[in-house]
Amino acid sequence: MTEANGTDQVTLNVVYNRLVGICKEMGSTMMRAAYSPIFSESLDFSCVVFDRDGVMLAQSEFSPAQVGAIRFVVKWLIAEIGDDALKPGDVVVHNDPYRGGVHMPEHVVIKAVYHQDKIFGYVANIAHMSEIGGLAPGGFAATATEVYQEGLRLPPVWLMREGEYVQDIWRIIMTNHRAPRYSWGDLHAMLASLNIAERRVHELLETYGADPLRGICADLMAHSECWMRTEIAAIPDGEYYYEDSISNATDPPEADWFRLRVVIDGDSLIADFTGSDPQGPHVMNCTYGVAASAVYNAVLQIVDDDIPHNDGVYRPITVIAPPGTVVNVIEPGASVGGNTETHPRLWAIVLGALAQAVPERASASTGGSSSNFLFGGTHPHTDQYYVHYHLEGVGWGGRDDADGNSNQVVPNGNCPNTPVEIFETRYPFVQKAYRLRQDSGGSGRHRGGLSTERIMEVRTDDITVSAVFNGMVKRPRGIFGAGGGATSELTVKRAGTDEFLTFRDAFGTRSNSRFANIKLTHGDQVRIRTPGGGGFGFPWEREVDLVVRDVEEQFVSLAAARSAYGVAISEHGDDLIVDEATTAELRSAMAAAGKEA
Amino acid sequence: MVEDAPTGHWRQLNWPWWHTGVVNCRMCGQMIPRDVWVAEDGLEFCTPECDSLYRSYWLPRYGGTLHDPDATTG
Repeated sequence: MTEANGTDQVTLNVVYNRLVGICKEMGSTMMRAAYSPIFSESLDFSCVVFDRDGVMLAQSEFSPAQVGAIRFVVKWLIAEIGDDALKPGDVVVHNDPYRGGVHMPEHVVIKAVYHQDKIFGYVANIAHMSEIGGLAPGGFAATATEVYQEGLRLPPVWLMREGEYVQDIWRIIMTNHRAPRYSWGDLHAMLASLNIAERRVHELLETYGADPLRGICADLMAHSECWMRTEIAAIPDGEYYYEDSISNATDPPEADWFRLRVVIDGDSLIADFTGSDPQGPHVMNCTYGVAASAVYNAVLQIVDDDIPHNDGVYRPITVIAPPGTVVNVIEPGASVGGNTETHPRLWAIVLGALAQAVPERASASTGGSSSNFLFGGTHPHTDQYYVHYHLEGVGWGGRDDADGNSNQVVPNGNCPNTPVEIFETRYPFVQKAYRLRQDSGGSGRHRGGLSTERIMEVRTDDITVSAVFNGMVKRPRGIFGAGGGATSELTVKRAGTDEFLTFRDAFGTRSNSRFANIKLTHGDQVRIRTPGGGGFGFPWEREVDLVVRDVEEQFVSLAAARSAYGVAISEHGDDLIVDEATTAELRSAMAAAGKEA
Repeated sequence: MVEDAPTGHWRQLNWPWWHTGVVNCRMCGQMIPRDVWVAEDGLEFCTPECDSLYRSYWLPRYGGTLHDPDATTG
């Protein structure tokens, strides 16, 4: 079987894997060369190869949050500056959320790859820099009401010209970032990844030649588009509506609503966010790139894993995100939380809509929060400014064939969090506890994944912390009769006291879930409890043996086994004994009540 | 769902170098980086595909009013 340009399947696979290999090698370079754990440990970046028109040929989605955005951000960047403005060795950078970016910390760098004096394509990466200036250390200006507070915003500007530093731009960046040493190192890691990709694309060109390679890539994209259209065509035609909100843990809570209509018509899909709330004076607005990424990630969740990820796979999907709303922020709206908190909520909303069409492929809500905890200060041992963006795992939603995963970063993140050893080596915190939260997974035939609890003690008198959390007000949703996951909590125990308090109670912050620039001191303890995943299906249909196993593992308490699952268990020494008669009675009553509800 | 590409013409945005604002398509919301598609009736979109989407999807559901015209910063 061959494609339109005559490419056979073997060649398609070989070229696709070489392109993906280039992207992965870019990522390895980033990881090894970076200064910040957000690159080296959390892998919060994506690496991509494009053709000369800015059409995405392959990607390595270290962080899927960026995949939709980078599809647009590079094409728009090339269109805006014009490819005739570029020369070999040039690198252009920007972090403008209104130009296809995902939020201010994410910087995209792009370099043209030349072949015989003409542009063959582009290599690019988009990566989360740990410090960008603005009102709070760590790149998350949690209380920002407009973009100008969120840090240094760069429109498309040249970072390198013909291989030489554009010193004015570097000096502006180094002046405005709180930890310029890290910015210097991380930007060079990004440049190194572009250089290695450029070299590898040249090797690919040597193997195939420019024109044949273009033909192979065109076939590859057509192949992906065709495959995706086949997958969408298998979803029943119709319009599927779903809505949900994000709440700020103020008193009373403030909510922003997201409304979505998914239209399946043959082999195409429209995701229409018309009717969503206007953008607000807060950081949970998201960019077009985030909204598109959320839709793409949700759709990719329910289709064949093996579809090659290139531009073709996204062509059957149209995203409508009205400008000026919470799903497409315009200047001067803030958006730093849109990528980490709003993205997973939109992802869940898309799946909520599609669950009506293909319930067997859906999953319940994930904890849906990156639980962003940021801090910075002068390190007592080095006298150097340190800064860190810390994220946490949550419980994922139960699904038709399995329980939700425990302690996993939001689906759009795919980022490992910072290991305790790195944390304690580089930052003035000591970890007092880090464990799964019992009963945090929503009850269901398939239980929601468990979230975590972490307690950290401050070991310095100079630290400023900020946070952007979600899931404190509403439980992540269970579906098909299941229970929701546990809500999140962020509390502090001041040195010399015995009680964990909310930040509102301890410091008078307006919100418990979004605050900035709180000064902590030696001996203060911070406790982070992340949200659990929602369950899938009626809890009283969960196999009794699985409930017993959950109790043995301390995932579920004896009390919850009885109240949430209708399983009466008693402890006899090390043994757990199920009271079968009482269990049958409890479950029968739950089923009757459930049917009534 | 998208019908044949409609007729219209392209118009290039000619901002001065110091202009850094962004214009969004009022149909899909995407940024319009340089070229605007001008439909026969004068409505402007990012692409002819969005023009088609407006006529085949938007008009039948929502009527004639597109997203807030103030929702651009150009």
